[in-house]
This record gives sequence, C-alpha cells and structure tokens, in this order.
Amino acid sequence: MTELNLGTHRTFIPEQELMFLADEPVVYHCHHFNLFLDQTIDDGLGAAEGTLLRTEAAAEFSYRLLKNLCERTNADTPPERLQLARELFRQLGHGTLEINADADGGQVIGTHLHYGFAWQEKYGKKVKRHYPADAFAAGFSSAAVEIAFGLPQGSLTAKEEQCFALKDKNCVFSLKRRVPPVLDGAPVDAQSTLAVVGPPENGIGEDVIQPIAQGLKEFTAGVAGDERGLVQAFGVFVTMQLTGYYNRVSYDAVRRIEAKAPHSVGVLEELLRESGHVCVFNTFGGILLSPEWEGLVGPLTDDPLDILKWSIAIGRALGMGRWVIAEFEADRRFVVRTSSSYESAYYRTRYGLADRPVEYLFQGAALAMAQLAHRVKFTEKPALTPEYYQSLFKGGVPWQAEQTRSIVCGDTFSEIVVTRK
Amino acid sequence: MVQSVQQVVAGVPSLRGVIVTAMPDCLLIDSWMRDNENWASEDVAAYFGDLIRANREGLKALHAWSAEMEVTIESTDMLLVLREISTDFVVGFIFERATPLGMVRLHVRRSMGILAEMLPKVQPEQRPRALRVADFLARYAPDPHTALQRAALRSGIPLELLKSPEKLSPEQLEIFERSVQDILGLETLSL
Amino acid sequence: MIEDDRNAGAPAPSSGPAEVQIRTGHSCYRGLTWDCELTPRKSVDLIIAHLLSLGFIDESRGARVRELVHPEAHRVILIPSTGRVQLRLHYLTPPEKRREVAENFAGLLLGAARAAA
Repeated sequence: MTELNLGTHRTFIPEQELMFLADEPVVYHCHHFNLFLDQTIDDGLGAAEGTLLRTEAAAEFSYRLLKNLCERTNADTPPERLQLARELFRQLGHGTLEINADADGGQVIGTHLHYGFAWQEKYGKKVKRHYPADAFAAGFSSAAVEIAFGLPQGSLTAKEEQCFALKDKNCVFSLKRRVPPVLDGAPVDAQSTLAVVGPPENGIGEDVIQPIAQGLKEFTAGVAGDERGLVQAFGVFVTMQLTGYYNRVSYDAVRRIEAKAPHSVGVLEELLRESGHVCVFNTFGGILLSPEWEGLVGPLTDDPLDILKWSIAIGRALGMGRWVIAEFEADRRFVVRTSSSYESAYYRTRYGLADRPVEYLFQGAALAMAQLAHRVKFTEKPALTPEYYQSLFKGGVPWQAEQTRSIVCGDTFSEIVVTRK
Repeated sequence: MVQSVQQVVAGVPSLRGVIVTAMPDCLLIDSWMRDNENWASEDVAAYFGDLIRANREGLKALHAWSAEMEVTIESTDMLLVLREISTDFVVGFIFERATPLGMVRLHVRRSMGILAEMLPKVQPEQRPRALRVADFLARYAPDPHTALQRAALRSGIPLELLKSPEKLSPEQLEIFERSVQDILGLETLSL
Repeated sequence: MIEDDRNAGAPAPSSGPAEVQIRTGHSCYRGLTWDCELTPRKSVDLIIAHLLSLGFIDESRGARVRELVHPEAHRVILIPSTGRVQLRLHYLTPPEKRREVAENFAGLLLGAARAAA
C-alpha cells in the first residue's frame, strides 16, 4: 500500500475550477458553512430525519471515495483499508477515528471530529445541544468498514451514541449489519460533470484572477489535518469535503419539504443561501486578512473591485467553479457568472433540469462577496467576529441578489446579479 | 423640571452611560451615553432586564430577595450597577472601571431618587406572549439574523406570520414557542 | 468559545516585554494567533537564518510565505515582502499562559532581529 498524500490524488477540471479527489467531487469549506448547512437540514426535517439523511449521504459518497482510493493506493487487506480510511479522514480535516469493527459491525471512537468540535467551539456556550452532531463521521465510518471487509454499499448502519457536542468526552459510534438498501442515485464524477458544464468564459480582471487562483491552488495542495485531524487556518476550521454530501442533503431536504410543507420551501432556500453567505464572508475574509495572502498576493486595498477579483480567485482555488466578474459598477452593481458549479453538476446529473435556479451556495456567495467588497475596510484589518458579522444585518442588508441565469434551468452559465437596494 | 436621563446624570464623574429598561417586557425607555462610547443602548437594555429578573428569581430561591437588591458587575473595563425602581423599571449605570465604589454608590443613590420621581407610574401590562417569545428568540438565538427563519422552518408557520407574532393563534403560539425552545436548547422560556 | 476569544484581545495591544508589541491576530482563536510588529523587511532572511540556528524547522511552502516551527511546536509566519510577522501558538499551550508565551516568543524574535542586524 502506498502512503496517502491528498495532493497527488487531487485534480481540477481544466478551466472549470471544479476539484476532485480520486475522481470524487470535493471542495474546501469552513465550519461556518458546514454547521449552518447541517443545522438547516435538521431545522427542515427534524433532528431524527435530518441526522439519518446526513448519515446516509456521508456513507454514499465516502464509500465511492474510499473505493477509488483503495484501488489507487493498492490498499488490499482490511487493516490496510482501515488505515487508509483513518488517514484520509484526518487529512481531510474531519478529525481522528479509531475503528474497532469487522464485517458484523462494531464500534468507532472519534476525537476532535470537525462537526462536533466546531459546534462546541462556536455554539457550545450559547445553546445546549440535544442530539449528536457528527452524522458525517458516522456515515464515513460505516463506509470505511464496508470497504475494508468487501461488503456491499449500505450493509452497515451507523449511529452516534456519544458526542463531544453533547459534552461527552469523545464521540462513539455503533455499527450494525443490515440488508443493504437499493441505491439508485446516478454517480456524480468528473465525467458526468463534464457533460453539464458550459464553455468557460473570461471576465473582468482575469489577468489578476488567474495567476492568484493558480498560486492558491498550489499553496493548498499540501493542506492536511494536523495531529488532531483538524485544519485550523484563516480563523476557521477547514475541511476538504465531498460535494455529494452537501448536494444530497440540500436537494433531498428541499424535495422532501416541497412534498410535505411547500409553503416552507422559500425559507429553507433562504437558509441554504445563508450557509454560502456566512462561509464566504468568514473564510474569504479570513484568507484576505491573513499573512499568507499578504505574502502570496500583496497588501490589501479598500477598492471594491480588487476585493471582488481576489474573492473570485479564492472561490476558484477552493473548487467552487469558474466564477467570473461579468459586470461591475462600484457601489451599484456586481454581476458574477460561472460556467460550472458543484451544485449544478450534481443537480443536472441526478435530476435533470429544474424549474428554478437552485445554486444556493453560489447565490449566497455572490451577495457575500458584494458585502465584503463594499462594507469591510480591509486596510483597517478588522477582526471578523460574529458581532461584526451580525452588524451587517442591522438595519437591513443594502444589497440584493437575484439569479438570472442557471445551468440547472438549461442555460450554459449561471449568473447572479447583485444590486444596491 | 427634570425630564430626561441626560439631565439626571449631568455632571456625574466617571459615568459612561445609563440605560433605563421598562419591565416586564425589557424595553428600552431612555438612555444616555458619553459621546465616545460605541455601544448601542437598544442592544443592551433587554439583557439588563433579563439579568435583574434572573437575579430576583435566584435570590427568591435562596429566600434572600429584597426590593433593595442591587447587582454590581466588575468587568475588565467597566463597573456596572443595576437597580430596580419598583418593579417597573431597571436602571443600569455604567461607570469607568477604576471609579471608587463609594462614589459609585453615592451617585447611584442620588440619581435613583430623581429617576423615581421622573419616571412615569405605570400599570404593568404585559405585551402578548407571542411578542415576548419572538423578542426572547432574537435576544438569545445564535446567529440572530436567521432565528426567525429557523423558527418558521421548524414550526411550519409562514415567516410572514411570524413577523407579526401577535396574530398567531393559540395553537400556532404553542408550536412557535416549542420551536424557539428547540433552537435555544431550553426546556422552558424565562419570559 | 471562538467568538468570545476572537473578540477578547483584538483591539488591545499587549503591554509586552521590552520593545515588543504584540496583539491578537484578526483570526485569533483562544489567544493562539498573535501579530507582532518588529521586523524590518530587509532582515527577514537573516532572522530566519538565526531562528534555524536556534533549532527552528523550516516548513515553508514557498519563498513568499516563510513558516518556521519552534522546538515547542509554535509557529511563526514571516512575509519577506512586507515584514509582517504572525505567531501561532500550539493549541496545547495552557490558555492562561498564552499571552505570556506569545510575549516570550516575540522576545525571541526580537533577539533574532537584533542578532541579524
């Protein structure tokens, strides 16, 4: 078995800025996004159904990733495959797993798990949690044992029995055998993605954006979890996460709410957009204010167009798609387009065309970039605290975003128009 | 005739601000702060009301409550004194941290006497419970700008209706309140 | 908690030991990240050489962002083009000692800067 090095298995579709790990679509996201998205799913479906959906989504896409990586690294025996799974989990920034299980099930102990740990850090002193937080680790664990022992996908269930976010010392999962369910979701990989991206476009400031994006990609190639299995950088906890997880939980939740409480779909979509907004504001802002940025790109300015160009470059480097600035008028209008997004790639592959734009991350991100560009005085190096973030909403957000084109609706690109109210 | 908090505390040395909160709804009634302060009285008033309410209940549980109770908080850079005027108002005095306690108490006592005369005598009338639930959520929810949307999604009550919570039916209020408890992780809401 | 800690030290510069001014970084969690103003741009390479001689390990991923690891696993980020310095303490540093450790770390860097000069 060869040693796992994420950088050697990470690829991008040229000029589309979508990232893959061993052919599975992935993206970098921070704990603000991860926690808020999970919370939204549970708000919509309830804790039990939300946790189950999130666990199943994690298991589905982790299984595919682990299968591909075992083949690529020649991990053939159960111990080698379990070792690979542990190391993969750590390098992705999800924490540390101790797997004590075989083909009949068993137990997994997690420490410093991204979701539970970050939840405790961000919310633990404000609210009491009543159910476990680590559905992703649960699903990943069941997939890891299935792959290790050559079981069909879905042969194990995983349940988190103890959780750090509930103030338990560690997270403990129980794995049990079951008759595997029929899984009928079409695979979403590089090949299927290529079929649903538009022709790549250039926009304003490409001479600045492209080299920065390339530099950032090279810089992030070596990013991996520390000895805890956490990536703590730029003021956030970062994960390289399977986009299939994000997409399945989001779109399954929307569909279920459409069926059982259609009047709540709008508010669900609003919260899904907020996941993107809080992510971009904190992560992109944190990257811009970091010494790494100063070294790689140079000192910051307060010119909104500079901030937008840099934000677009960051979005590309993190694997969010080929975002371009289509139009810009300072303090009035910002139009961002993309010929590719991990959301549209999944939606088109799994469901075909939609009746309305559903690229929620892209929608929230566009609004957040406008806010970063116009409302943050970067040269004053502000601390991007939750209080600072909340202050953006006092008296109403002065910008509004509307998606005017969408790949999921059949357009060749997706477009968000952000205008001053 | 004294008509505002600003007139009452004019000239009190080392005073950074005063906030008057009407109870039981924890609403800001009047305030004054020094020119160079960067906090907003609206953001603070309700928490002062909640603090006094929690303090009162705690002291009652200890069989130690008296109408003359006072809460003093010494933080890194301020000294805070909270006092009640009857059960209708809570007054928060915010002093510079280094202010001698004796001087603080002297000025608080003098100011409280004037404020007690100045503030209106009110017949306590609680606002509808739904409004108080919505306010409580806004005060204590993490990410408060999304709290009402979360409550709408959890409860299934349309967001527009939650923006006018006084219009909720008793059944909807019960569901709304349960969703707020879930969001805050609380068994009951201390309203 | 993240918010509280990021808030906690952000605006307040440390009194610090002689001549070293440090302040919590904009992205500070729990007093682990500190900005340190001490380095004339020209001397960054010399400071790095001095730190390496003290047992620091160079884990830079490129020439534009230098990252050195302290023998006790703290890290220092140095930006040669601007002279910006950021100290990142190891997360196991006891919370009540973080400011002190950061100040001592900054003092070490000041010594390196003087040696380099």
